[in-house]
Amino acid sequence: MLQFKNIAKTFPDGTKALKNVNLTVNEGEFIVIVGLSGAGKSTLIRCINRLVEPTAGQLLAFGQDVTKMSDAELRRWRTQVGMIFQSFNLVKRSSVLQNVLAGRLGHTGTMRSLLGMWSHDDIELAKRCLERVGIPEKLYNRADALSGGQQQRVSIARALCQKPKIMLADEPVASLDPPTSHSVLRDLKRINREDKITTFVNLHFIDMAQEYADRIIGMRAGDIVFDGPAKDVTEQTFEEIYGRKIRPEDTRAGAVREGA
Amino acid sequence: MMTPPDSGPKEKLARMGWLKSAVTILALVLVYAWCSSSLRIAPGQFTSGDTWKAMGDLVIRLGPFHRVQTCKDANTAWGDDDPIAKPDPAKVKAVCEDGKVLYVYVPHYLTSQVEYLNEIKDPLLDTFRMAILGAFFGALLAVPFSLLAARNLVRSKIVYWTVRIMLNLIRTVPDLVWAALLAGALGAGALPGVIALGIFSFGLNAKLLSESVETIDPGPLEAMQACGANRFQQIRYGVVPQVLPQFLAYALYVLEIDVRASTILGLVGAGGIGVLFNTELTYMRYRNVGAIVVVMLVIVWAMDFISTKVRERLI
Repeated sequence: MLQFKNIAKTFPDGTKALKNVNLTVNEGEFIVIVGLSGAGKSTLIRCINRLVEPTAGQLLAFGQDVTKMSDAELRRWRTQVGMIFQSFNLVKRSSVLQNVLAGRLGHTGTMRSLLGMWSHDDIELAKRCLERVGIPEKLYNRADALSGGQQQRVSIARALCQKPKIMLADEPVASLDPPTSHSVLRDLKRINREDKITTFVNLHFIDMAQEYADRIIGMRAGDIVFDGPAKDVTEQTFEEIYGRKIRPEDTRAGAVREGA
Repeated sequence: MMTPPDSGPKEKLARMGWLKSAVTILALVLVYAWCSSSLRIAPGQFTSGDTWKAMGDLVIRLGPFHRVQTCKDANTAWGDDDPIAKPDPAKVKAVCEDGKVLYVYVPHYLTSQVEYLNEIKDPLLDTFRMAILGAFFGALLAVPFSLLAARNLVRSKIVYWTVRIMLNLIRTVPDLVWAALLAGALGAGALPGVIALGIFSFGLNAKLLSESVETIDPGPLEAMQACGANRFQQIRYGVVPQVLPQFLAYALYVLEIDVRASTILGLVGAGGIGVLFNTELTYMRYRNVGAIVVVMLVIVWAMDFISTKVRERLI
């Protein structure tokens, strides 16, 4: 359903963030992209919804080239691609409900949304999405009154509210503690299974990658250096991806011991 | 942590702390000499009895006192607010023959002031109305322009700098100058006052607001972009909630400034209480001037107080 053909990204300062990436993704896969910071993980998934504009190559989504889309087509495409971020990117002063409803913006007329006239269906959908991530009772709380894990769940609900075909998660657990990290990834995995949403997760914790991924993609310096089923991956594979020995901070469990 | 002691010229300079003080004092003296010499103000004039006397005279006459300094004053002063009162022969003599200046308490001062305030309440309210209208239009117009003057929202450097420079130009012209210019163009009245305050408020609000917009968290904006929202929706849901409290606080602050400014716009013919102030001053009715000054003080102070309280709760 998604096909990267020689996708490359060179930033204006000359940094080659992606070099000729070729990748074919099937519907419903749960893909974890691992690599050190600066390897191009973030750039890769941002090319999918063109938050980063690829400088070369083609990206075929259901047969259409994403890189050639007009503004209107791009907005329509983005409604099908949910995204969650390391820093949650919620509007802190707004209520949880408002934040989740923002996921419906792409499906709502400009005038209606500017006036805040949400349809009954949208509000019901937002409530259901919050139920699915396990925090239905927080509807009217201010977003910044929630814990980090709860905020990330709100942002998952916001993405779900788009009824996406694809879910992008850019380091979704990097600012969370280990138990919360696991429950957030479990939520993502469950949603991936239940709704057949193709999911990309950027992680740098190898233990979590092995636990949750169907397929692991390893990146180094803008290249894909590994691509295979999670069950084939060993510690040695990670050492090849990282180009160095595995350290305690490369695992979710170890990172905590380091921090303590 | 601490920089190691430096035995070079820096240390030498540090030991000559007295030199710094001396240079500072010398500089201040020079600035004073330069200003007062070209303004032709002799040092003695600040402390001379005449200056203090004139200022004291003003303060007394702004209050409940009438100045009696000519024989004609002396014969009428005692009765000018109270027809029953008769001139006091001793005091008439003191003024007419001894050339003394006397201050006479005005009979029924408070009641006459209250009456006067009742008379001027319309121009007073007009002042308020002008300030509110000006602040309202200014704040409203500032919204789109503040977005265009925010570096994080506008990618075009040309648009950004054009709007920025325009806003800066608008703000360099003082509100009183806008009012004088517009009163000249549109004729005296409240309209030039409202427009002048509107332009002034617009410049200030747009500047303050654009700076708030530039410091927002870019995360929510990125999230709105990612979910397929268009530019208007991105701003409505990614920017507005983040800056709304500041916007209201700024608008209120500007209203506060507008109330203060509107009281004197009348001096240049732009309506409100200032017109009356000007008239009373021209006819030297200092008691009325005093009443207006007191009311202005109360209004400005009250506006200050309210807006500070509300702004504290907003942010």
